[in-house]
Amino acid sequence: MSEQQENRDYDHKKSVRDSASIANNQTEENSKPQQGTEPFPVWLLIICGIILIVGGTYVGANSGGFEFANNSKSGYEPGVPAGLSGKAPELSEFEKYVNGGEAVYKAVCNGCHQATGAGQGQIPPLLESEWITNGTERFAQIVLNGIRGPITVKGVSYGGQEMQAQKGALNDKQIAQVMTYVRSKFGNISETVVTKEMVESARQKFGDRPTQYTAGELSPAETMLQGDQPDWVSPEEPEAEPENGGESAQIHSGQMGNEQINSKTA
Amino acid sequence: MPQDNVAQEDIQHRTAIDRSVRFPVLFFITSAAVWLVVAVVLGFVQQMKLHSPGFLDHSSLYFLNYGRSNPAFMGALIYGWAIQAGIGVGIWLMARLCSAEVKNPITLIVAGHFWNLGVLIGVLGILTGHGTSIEWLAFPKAVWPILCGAFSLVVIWLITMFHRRQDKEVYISVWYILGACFWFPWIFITANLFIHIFPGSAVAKAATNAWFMGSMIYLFFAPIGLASAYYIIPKIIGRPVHSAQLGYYGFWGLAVFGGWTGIQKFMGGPLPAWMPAVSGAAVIFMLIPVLIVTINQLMTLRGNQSALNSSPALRFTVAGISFFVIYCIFSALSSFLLVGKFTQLSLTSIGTQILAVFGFFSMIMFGAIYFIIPRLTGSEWPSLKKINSHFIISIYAMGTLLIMNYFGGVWQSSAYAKFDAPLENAIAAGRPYAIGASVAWGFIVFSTLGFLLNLISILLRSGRREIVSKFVGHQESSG
Repeated sequence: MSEQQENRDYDHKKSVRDSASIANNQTEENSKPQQGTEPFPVWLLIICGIILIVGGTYVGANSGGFEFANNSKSGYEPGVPAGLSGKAPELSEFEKYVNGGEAVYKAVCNGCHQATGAGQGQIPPLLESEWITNGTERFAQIVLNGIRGPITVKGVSYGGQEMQAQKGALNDKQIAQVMTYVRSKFGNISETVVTKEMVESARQKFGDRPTQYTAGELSPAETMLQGDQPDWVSPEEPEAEPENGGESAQIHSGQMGNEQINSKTA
Repeated sequence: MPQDNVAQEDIQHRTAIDRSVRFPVLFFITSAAVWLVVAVVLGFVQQMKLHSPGFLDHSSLYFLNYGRSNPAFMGALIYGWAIQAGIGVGIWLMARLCSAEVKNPITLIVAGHFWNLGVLIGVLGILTGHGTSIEWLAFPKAVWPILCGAFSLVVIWLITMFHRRQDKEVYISVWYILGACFWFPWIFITANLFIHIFPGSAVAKAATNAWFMGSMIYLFFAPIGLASAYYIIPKIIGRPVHSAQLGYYGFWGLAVFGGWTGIQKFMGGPLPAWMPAVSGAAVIFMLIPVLIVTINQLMTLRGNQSALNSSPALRFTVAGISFFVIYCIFSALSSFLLVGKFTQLSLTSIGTQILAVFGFFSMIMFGAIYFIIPRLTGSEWPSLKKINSHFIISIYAMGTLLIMNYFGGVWQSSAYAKFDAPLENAIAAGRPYAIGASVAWGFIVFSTLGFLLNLISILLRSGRREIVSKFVGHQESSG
């Protein structure tokens, strides 16, 4: 026991002085460490070789060909989580355009007209409303400048609430997209869209008005905003899209649209 | 007898060296120990906040919320404790191994003051909300030049010391220390330049940060820790290191592979695939030097296992080496996606950092400190009981932290992977393990306080005094 205690770093029972006197002036500390001369063992060399091979294989398998553009290893296909199809939905230009409008609708219109477009209380519905399915000019007027006073929607009279002008809050593209969204979602019109240029000219025409419209002041029901439809609208029937623009764009009304829907679904 | 005279001269020379480095080394180690206490207290607080945000929730204690206490904890642990303890131990090893007395300790004292000032500003800066929220570099931007300047002074001192060495043979520990004193400024300046001064894209910054953390572990903590182990183990056993060749290849393996590590953390991320792949391979290659070094140390220890029972310094050092091996194997496994997907973004990630900084590096530093301090003060550690309980509690707490963080991380990331389940599930899955880790941190706080008390009382000379330091780790047979 005493021998073990002498080997101790520290002996809490005996005074260190005592153990030092037992050691009798020997070096109390081992001399400076030296390096031994044993050779590198062969088996260790073999293990190191195996590790090198594993590591090298790892780089080869995961490096993706050392290209800066690759952020996955070569031949990597993303896995499909259970419950998902694994394919990103491919959106047509029209759907993308409408989705932009949906975002605007959710941000601006949702609160009063509701996500379903059904309206609430004194706020008239958008769903299948003649004010959105007919002429786009008066629709644009309402969005730009707002509306107050009595208005009859789908045979029911509203008028307790007034709608604020949106011309300050939304830019031309946003108004165009949200109008297209409303027309397609609540009016089922997908063969024509409202373009940014149409809203731009509408803003020039009606945007200076300081107050809201009343129902009587709006443009007639059949007046459409004028302008070209973009190329991606109903590409199946390019001849239905006369390129001279101007007056002829007015033709794109509801009746024509129905034909196009039929031809699309056929 | 001539032999006795030689031995006597040796002792006198050693004592003179110890006396000349006494003040700077004690300064670094003591302030490191104080920072360690600050760090583990913050560590306990941030771990509690992880599962019980209501802990210490008072309007005047807003600065202890997880978002601040966690980076403050890491900053205090790494810069306050780990690096500073590493500098202190490195200086002492360097003086001893170069067999030269220190001529201008004032350089080191100045460096030490600036370093502590930098850490203090940094930790307070984080707590008052000026942190950068970058892992391991969370100190406010103004701090890193202070740290860098202070460390440069230490580097200059170490190199001067190396030039003035009396001993022609350069021992393996000196290689490691010199390596670390060049590598640390390199990685620290590079990381700060490319994150703070010339920031690239956010992705590049994240990659730089991951590289910094990996390189800090492999190119600063590993060399300093191994330098200490290469000194303490043969010194206490009283026989040469098993093989100089193994030491040589172990060192150069570390030097070659260490600086490529870290970015494997972002495998599968939006980086060019080769970056994490190269880092992952480097971590696998790191097993080579680690294996070589470990075998070298184990062969040195062979046949002297009984010394483990009698020497706390040796026990701490061997425990540290064991944690280092565990860390390296875990890291190598984690660089395979099969394992890595569980360890990348969960509790495991922080558990790995704690394992490297606390399990490996701190353990070795404790061992070295228990060996060094009595030689510098000329008095014994006042309480063996405190040393033993420090060891036992540290081992158990580190083991608990390891299990809690790794298993908790696996559960947590499995829950994260269920994309259609609410995020709360993942938090709930990790919660029991976070609570377990809190208990472990509580014990660490307790044992660290014991360590600090022991250190303070030996510094205040309440321990038994001796004229010449002659106690810790000596062995009869070597005379």
